[in-house]
Parts: sequence; C-alpha cells; structure tokens
Amino acid sequence: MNVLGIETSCDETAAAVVGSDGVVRSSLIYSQLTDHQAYGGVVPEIAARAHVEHLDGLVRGALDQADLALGDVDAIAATAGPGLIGGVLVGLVTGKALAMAAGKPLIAVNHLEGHALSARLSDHIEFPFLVLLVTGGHCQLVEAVSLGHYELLGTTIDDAVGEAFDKAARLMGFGYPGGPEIEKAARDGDPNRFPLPRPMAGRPGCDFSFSGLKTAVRRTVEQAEPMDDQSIKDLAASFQSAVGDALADRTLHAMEIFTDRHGGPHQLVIAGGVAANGALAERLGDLAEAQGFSLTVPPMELCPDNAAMIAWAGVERLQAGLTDDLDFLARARWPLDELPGPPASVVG
Amino acid sequence: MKILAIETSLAACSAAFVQGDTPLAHRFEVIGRGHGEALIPMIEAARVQAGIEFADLDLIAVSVGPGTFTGVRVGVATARALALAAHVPTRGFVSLEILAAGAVQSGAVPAGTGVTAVFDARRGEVYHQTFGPDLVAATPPALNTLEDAARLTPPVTGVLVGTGAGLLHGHLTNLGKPWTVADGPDQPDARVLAALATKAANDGLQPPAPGLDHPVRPLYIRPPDAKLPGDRGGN
Repeated sequence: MNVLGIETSCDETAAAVVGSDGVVRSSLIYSQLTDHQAYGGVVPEIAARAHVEHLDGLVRGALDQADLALGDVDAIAATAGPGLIGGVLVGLVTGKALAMAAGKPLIAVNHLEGHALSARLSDHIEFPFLVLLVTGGHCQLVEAVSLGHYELLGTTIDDAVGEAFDKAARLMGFGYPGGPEIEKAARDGDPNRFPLPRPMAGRPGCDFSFSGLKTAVRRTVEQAEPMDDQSIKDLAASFQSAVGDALADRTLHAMEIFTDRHGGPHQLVIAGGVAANGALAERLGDLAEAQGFSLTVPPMELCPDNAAMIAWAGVERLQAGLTDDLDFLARARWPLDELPGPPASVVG
Repeated sequence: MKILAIETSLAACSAAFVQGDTPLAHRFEVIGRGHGEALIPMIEAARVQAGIEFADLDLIAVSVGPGTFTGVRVGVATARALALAAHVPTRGFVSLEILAAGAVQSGAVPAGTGVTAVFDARRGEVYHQTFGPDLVAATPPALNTLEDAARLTPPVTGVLVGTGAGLLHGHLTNLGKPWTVADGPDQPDARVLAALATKAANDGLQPPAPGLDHPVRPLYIRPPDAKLPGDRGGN
C-alpha cells in the first residue's frame, strides 16, 4: 500500500510517497526560506503564493521518483491544519482534487500527528510513547496513547521554541532562521558566562514559557554592548543551555505523569525541526537515560516539516479505516487532543 | 469540446461542465467564504450529473482573479491538481472579463455600449477593467484607488457591473463621465466562463499542451502585505 502525502502548513512545500512497508519512496521539499529571509520570518501571504506555484510540480516529481502513477497510490493524505490557513488550504484543496479525480480516498492529516508519528515510520516504535514536539510554531509534550488518541500534557504559554531561537538570534545579530546559527556559535561558547533564567523550572505541570528568556537575552545584549565575537558565542551557548534546561525540566514532569499512567517500556520521542539541534537532543538524551526512558529522535530528514510524515500518518489512518470527506474543513488551529480517531477502547 | 469551468474569485463559488454550446451541468452558490470546502464536492456533483470523466475533458478553464487571494488560490490549485491527475490542459481567464461577459449575456448591457467590471477591493480601492462593444478590452485589469479608477475609465457611455459598481459610479459622475450602474449580476459565474472558453476555442485558440509546462497562475495584482524590516513607508 502506498500513500501520497502533501504538506503546506508553513513555509515548506512538500510532497512524498510512503509505503505501508515503511519505505519512503520519495520525499521532495521546496524550502521557501529565501522568499521570506528578507522579512525576518514567514510572511503568510508570500508562503501561500509559493505553495500554489510549486506544489503540483512536487507532486508530479514525488510520483515520478516513486515510479508510480497517481492511479497506483492507495490514498491521498494532505495536511489540513494546524498552520497558516492560506497555505493549508492550497495543500488540502490540491489533495481533495487529486483524490476526486483519481477516485482515491482523502485523508486529512493533522500536521502535529504527522510529527508525532514520524518515529513510528523511522523506528517502528509502539504505542504508547511520550512526545516532545518542538518546532517553529509549536512546543508541546504529548502522550501518544494510540492512533488518533493524544493527551496534551503541556504546551507553551507564549512563544514556541523555534520562535524563541529566531527572536534570540535576531537580538544577537544573526540572520533568519536562528536555530542553526545559534547552535553553531554555541559550540565555541561558554554556557555559564551569562546567567539566564530557566522559565517555569520547578513549577508544577508541563507548560513552557520562553518570552522571559527572550527578554533576558535582550537585557544581556543591551548591558554588554558592544559585544565582541566571543561574547556573542558565550551568549548563544548560555541561551541554548537555558532552553535545554527548560525543556528538560518540563519533560521530566511529563515523564513522571507518563510513568504513573503506563507500565514500561518508557519511550520518549523528540519530533519537529528543533530536534535537529544536536545539543538539545543530547541534553534530553541524558535526561531520558537518567529516567529510564529510551530516546528516539527521527532521522534529520523527518524532523523539519516534510510530506513523508504526512503520507505515513495517512498510511496509519488508512489501515485503521479512517478516511475523510471532500468537504473537510481546513483549520488554522487544531489541537492534537481534538482529532477524529477510532474509539480508544477498540485500539486498546 | 468538453470543458470544465471553475470560478471562485469572489463571494460566489461555481462550476460548470459544457460540451460545445451544450450545458451539461452547472452549480452556482454565493457562499461568501469556504470555497476550499465547497468547491470540490460541487465539481463532483456536477461531473456526475454531466455524466463524464475528468479524463474526457479537453480543457479546464479557471478564473485566475483578481479577487480574494484565498478564493483565487482555491480555484487555481484545484485546476492545476485536476490537470495533473487527468492530464488535461488548463487555461486562465480574468474574473473581470467573466463578469463583464455575464452582464452582456444577461442583457444588462445595451447594444453598442461599453461595460466596466468593478470589484470592491476594500481600502478605498477597486479592481476594474473596461470593455468596448463585443467585449474588446479597452483597459487592462488593474487595481486602483477609486479616484484613479474613475480617472482611467474612458469617458464613454456604458454600464458598470460588479461589487464595486456603486462605489465607482459616484466618482465617475463627479468627473462628468456618463456611466450608469447595471441591473445585472455582480458575481462572475463559471457558466459564463465556460462559454468564453468555448468561444475562444471556436475562434481557433488552441488549448495549451497538457501537463505542467504551461500552468495557470493567479492574477493577484495586489502585492502581499509584507514589510521589510525598517520599512515604515506606506507602499
């Protein structure tokens, strides 16, 4: 069984074909980075325009690379939210039109479920597992109970992690996107040079907050100005270390909840673009080891927004008999705990 | 020649299947928002009624705007996806021309007079285009302030159609230009688009090659709302 996946929820236009055997037959991504770079962030209307321009070519390319015709795939899976609504609409309506014309089922995929299930594609891990979902737009701790059944344990009350990196990077004089630049600079920096807060640390629950950390970075920059190269590297390292500690503190709470609810094996998955940050993955790896959790970080190509994870979510949903109507509503906001799915009791 | 026509640029959402001058199926609904949800089921219902397969089509004609950004994208993305799936050529038509042609068809335009299609683009601006008799374009599709649109509209006798007709009328009157507001449709319709596409084919305009080499593109006219860092100016 093969599913065509489409992803257009932010600034990546992507199409992929994935099989029920777990083989990624093709996965193409057009990054709009250069379209948005000058603006210091993603401009929704520019993103939506670029999706229309590139998506059909990527779909054609993904099918060609998989050596399949549209009529050969078993379903079309498209991101239906959450995300920038103009872009989501382009991908979803394209998926609907392809499904209608090819006489194939449509699967409207929640983008966050795509991220959450990516470790099942790459590492075949079994439910239940704990997911730390860290992207440019989201920061969540999710208990993945079964397909379509997710408990949101915590989320950010202000900025997402990727957003925090971008904002801090701008303050340090780096370009957009900020994550890779900060990680690079931090390698030669002293993480203990600047004392930065660990937001929410020690508080009950699993929610995140990053706006206070951003303010502290701004204050540090203002006080230390002009900053020499080494100071910038030290600040990058101090910032990254603070983010790591904050993520670890919240994840620890989620691990305790997870452990209370489930017997072993205890599994932690880090999903989303920020998972590509090696230092953060290492920090969370240490935590997982200390807590007796096995850690899975999907391979680099499955971390940022991509269509293979959407196609895979489509495979899992199709196998469970979950398909959607052609009038499915595109959503800007669509929390993971509001998904259609099989009744939990059936899946057990 | 079998044609599917799709129009989603404003508050209406419509689809039509025709074979030559014979209408096969037509759906038209003023929905305001929600084209992304309404359009595909609408096309499928019309296709079933028309009794044809997508692969039987000779052309997909789509309204490329101007209009709402989202509506235009829904129509164009749908046309491109169907073209990819069924290997059918696509051709884009300007929404303003579709509306003007609809006004002529409905009898709202007296013989020998011009017609100006005007869409309210908000912010004191309109999308507008003027056509002479026989729908020959006299001005290009454009986005202007009401003042500039009135200034650029030729001083001839004609009728105004569309959601911005009332807005532009006052400004034209102030300039002494003898335009009147038509009692006709104010939304473009896929049925009219299908007729335009059929006429273009009858006039010898060959369909472009199927596939992705000649994709239809939205005609937004208005640029995206985006300011470069440090750019404080208006536009």
